[in-house]
Amino acid sequence: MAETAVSNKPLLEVKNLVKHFPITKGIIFSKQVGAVKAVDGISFTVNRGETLGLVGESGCGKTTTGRVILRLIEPTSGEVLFDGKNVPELSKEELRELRRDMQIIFQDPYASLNPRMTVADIVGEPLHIHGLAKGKEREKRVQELLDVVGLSSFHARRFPHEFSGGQRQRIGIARALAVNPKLIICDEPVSALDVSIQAQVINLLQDLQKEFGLTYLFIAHDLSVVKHISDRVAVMYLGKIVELADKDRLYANPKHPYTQALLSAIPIADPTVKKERIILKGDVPSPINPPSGCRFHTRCPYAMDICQTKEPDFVDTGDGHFVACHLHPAAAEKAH
Amino acid sequence: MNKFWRRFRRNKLAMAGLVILVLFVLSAIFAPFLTPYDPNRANLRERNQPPSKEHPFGTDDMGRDILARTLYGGRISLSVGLVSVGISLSIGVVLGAIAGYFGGFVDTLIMRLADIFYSFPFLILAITISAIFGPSIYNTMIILGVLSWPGPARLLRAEFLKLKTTDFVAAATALGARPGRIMFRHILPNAFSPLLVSATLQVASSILSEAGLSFLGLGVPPPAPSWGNMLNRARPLHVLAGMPWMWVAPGIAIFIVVLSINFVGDGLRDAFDPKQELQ
Repeated sequence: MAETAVSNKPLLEVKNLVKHFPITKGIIFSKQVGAVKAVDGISFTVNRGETLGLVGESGCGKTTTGRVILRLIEPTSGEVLFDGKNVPELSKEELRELRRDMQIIFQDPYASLNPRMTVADIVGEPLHIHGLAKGKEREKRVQELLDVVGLSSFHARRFPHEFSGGQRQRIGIARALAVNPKLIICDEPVSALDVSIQAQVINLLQDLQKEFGLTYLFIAHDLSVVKHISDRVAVMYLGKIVELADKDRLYANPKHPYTQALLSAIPIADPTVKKERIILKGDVPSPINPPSGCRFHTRCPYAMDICQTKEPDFVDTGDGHFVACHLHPAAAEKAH
Repeated sequence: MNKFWRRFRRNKLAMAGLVILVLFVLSAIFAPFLTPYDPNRANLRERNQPPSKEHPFGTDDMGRDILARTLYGGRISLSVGLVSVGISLSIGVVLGAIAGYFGGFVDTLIMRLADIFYSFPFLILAITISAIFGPSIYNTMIILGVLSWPGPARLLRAEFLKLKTTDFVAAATALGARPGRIMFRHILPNAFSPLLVSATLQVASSILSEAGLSFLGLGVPPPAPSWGNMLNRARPLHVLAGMPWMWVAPGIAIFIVVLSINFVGDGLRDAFDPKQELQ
C-alpha cells in the first residue's frame, strides 16, 4: 500500500523556478546592472516513468532549466522537489548522494566525453565515484553497460575520438546509466546527430526507458522528435512555460498562439496537403529586458490591450491542459 | 603506458633529444671516469692553453681543464634546472588549478600574489634572499623555483577557466565527482600540453638564470664549476675574441641540452595526446 502511495506522487516537481544570470559592470568594484532572465518562474511536474518533452526556440531557457534542476547551475529561487527532497537546499554530501538518481545526457557528443580517458574509464567513473564496483566487477559492469547501449566490449579500451557521433552519444548514455538513475535529463541528445542516427538513439532511449523504468525530461527544439518520444509536452518561450499538455491534445489542439505558430511550422511530407503557416513577426525579445505583461504580446497575432499590462496566469483549462494566455476563458476569469 | 611509449618513439627528434639528454646526464654522473683531472685544481703553469692532447678542450685562466669543468658543471647546471622547475611547477600547478577552478576571491588573491611576484625585480629579490641564507646550490634552486611559479600558475589558470565550462566537466559534476577529482583527473590532463612546453622552456631559462646568479656571486659559489659561471668567467673581451675554447664548451653544452629538452617536451606533448594516430 505504502509503495503505491509513493509511486503516485510525481518524481520531479518544479515550483516557481527562477534563474537570473547577473550582468555586472566594473572589474574591482563590480555592481550588478541587470540580469539575463533565462528562467523566470516556471512550474511543472514529471511523473514516474513518463517522458516530459520541453520545447522552445534557441535561447528560451530550456538548457538552463535542465542544468538548474541538476544544480549544475545554482538556481536564483524556487523549488525543485525530487522524490520529496528539495534539491536547491541539499548539502553537498546529500547532493552527491542524490546525483545517483538524476543523470544528464548532453547535446554535444564530442564535448561531453573527456578526450584523455578511455571508454572503460568514462563509463566506469560513476561506479568508482559512488563506490559501486571495483576491479574485475567494475570491468564486468562496464561491459554490461556497453552491451546495453549497443556497443561491443572491445570498444572499452578505445578513446572517444575513435568513435562516430552516434556511438559517442551511446557512450554518454552508458555513463548516465551506470548509477541506475531514476531520472535522466536529455538535453537535446539527438540534435547534433545525423537524421538516420537520430532515430537509432531515440529508439535506444525508449527501449532503455521500458527496460529500466526510467523517467525522462526530454529537452529539444525538434517538434517531431518530441512528439515521437514524449507523453506530455511543455512549450517554453523566453524563460516561461506557455503551454503544457498531453502530447496528443497539444498537437491536435494547441491553445497558445505561440504553440500554434510552432506547430504550423512542422513540414508535412505530402506535397498535396496545403497548410496554413503562421509566420511570426520580429525576433525573440531580449531576456535581459523582456516585454511587460505577456511576453509573447510583441509577436502575437491576437494581442489585446490586457496582454501588454497583465501577465497571464498559467492555469488548467481542463484535463491537465495548462496554458498561459488571456485568450482562454479559464485564464481570463482568474484575471478579473 | 605502452601506447604512450610507442607514440613517443615515433617522434625521431624527441628520441634524439632524449638520447642526448641521457648521455649528458650519464657523463655528468660518471665524470670521474671520463677525465683524469680535478675540475677545481688550478695549475698556473698551464694557464689559457688552447685545446691539445692533454687538454682536449683547453684550459682556463687558472689552468683548470675545461673538459673536466664542463663534465662536472653539468651535474650542477642540470640539477639546478630540473629541481628549480620542479619546485616552480608544483607551486604553480596547485595555485593555478585552485585559482582557475574556484574563481572568485581565491582567484583574485592568488593572481594578485602572482602579479606581485612578477613585478618585483627578480635580481633584488634573489640578492636579498641569498644574502640572508647564503649562496649555495640548494638556495639557488629554491630561489629560482619559488620566484618563477607565476608563469605556470597563470598558464594553468587560463586552461582551467577554459576547460571548466566544458560538458565533460559538467558530466563529472553531475556524476558527483569531488572538486579534487575534477581538477586533477579531468581538467589537468587536458591542460597538459601547454604546461609541458612551458616547463621545458623554463628548464632552459633556469639554467641561464643560474648562470646570471652565479656571476653575481649569489648562485653556485666558486670554485665549483657550473656552465653558467664558466661562461661568465669567459666574459672579458680578450677571452671572447682570442680564446674561444673557454666559452665554446659550456656554451655548446647549454645549447644542446636546452634544444634536446625542447625536443623531448614536444615529443611528450604529442605522446600524451591520444588523438595522435598510431599506425
